[in-house]
Amino acid sequence: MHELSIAQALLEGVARHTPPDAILQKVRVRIGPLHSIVPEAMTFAWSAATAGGPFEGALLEIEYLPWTLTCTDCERQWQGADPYETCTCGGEQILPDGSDDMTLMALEVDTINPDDANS
Amino acid sequence: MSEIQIIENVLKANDEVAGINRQHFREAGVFTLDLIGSPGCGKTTLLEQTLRRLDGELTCGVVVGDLATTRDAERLKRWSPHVVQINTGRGCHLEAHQVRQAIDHLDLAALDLLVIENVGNLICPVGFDLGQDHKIAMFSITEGDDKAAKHPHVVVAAELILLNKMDLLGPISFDLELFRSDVARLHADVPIMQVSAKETGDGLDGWLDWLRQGAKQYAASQSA
Repeated sequence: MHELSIAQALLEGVARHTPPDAILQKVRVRIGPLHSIVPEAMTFAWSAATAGGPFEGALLEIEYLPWTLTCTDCERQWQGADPYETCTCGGEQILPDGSDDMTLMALEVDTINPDDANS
Repeated sequence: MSEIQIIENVLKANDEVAGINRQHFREAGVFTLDLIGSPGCGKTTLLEQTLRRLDGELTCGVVVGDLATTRDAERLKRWSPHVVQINTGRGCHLEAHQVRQAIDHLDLAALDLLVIENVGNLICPVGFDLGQDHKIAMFSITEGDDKAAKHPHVVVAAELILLNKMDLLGPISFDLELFRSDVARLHADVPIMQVSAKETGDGLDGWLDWLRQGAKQYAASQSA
């Protein structure tokens, strides 16, 4: 359940980048396959990390990067979610390579309008 | 609604500390490994044998991670004074800052080799850089011959695969060909070393040679 410590690290980054006058709606991250992230566990961990704080309820949108797969028979290279995909040439000796990318891409925020706040 | 573009490494804090660790290891000239394997695969036993057999030849240290107890450190301290235990509480893997704190208790300059024995787990430790030179994945035949195939991430990330408890082959059924082909399928060039750390010591010579070679090359690369 390393998703909990990743959620905590993510929360620290989000807190640094969210302007004080903004309400955080969504966090977008990109995660490489070497992190072995279970999507449900990551969503749960994000909810747990943000519960009771200023970012509670903000959605976590994750782009899971695929494996880069190379067929050792025909040398075709493609991207796939499963490291055990076989090649269209029938080749079964496929070498998977994956990144350990873990990037906070963007935040979507609602900015509190000072005029609204004063009215 | 407005969007704020960021593009920042989520594990920046971990990776920065891992970079500091790596710098310390480099300055001290200590070849450093991150040993990853399931609970009970024989990581600590392997290291006991390693420290014992390299005594007087290479000065070895160990940082050992467990959720609780100092039992592993106590075992290892019989063979080397350079041992630090990390207790992670509920943490399923080591992070760079924990290693950073642990190495404050070690005289790195006195070491040739440092092994970081990660928390017993084949999944969570894979994505966390600790500042090591190599990750090593350790399996044992009692876990079953499908474990490399079921844990592709660690096989892809590892630069050496150890397969332990080979002395039990026979009483324990284990398809060695299948295991080897699963590993080769995921990571073509990674060496696989078969060892019997506890009973016979078979295969340990190859492992010790790999360590000697690695430490020597590391020292040469640092002085170059």
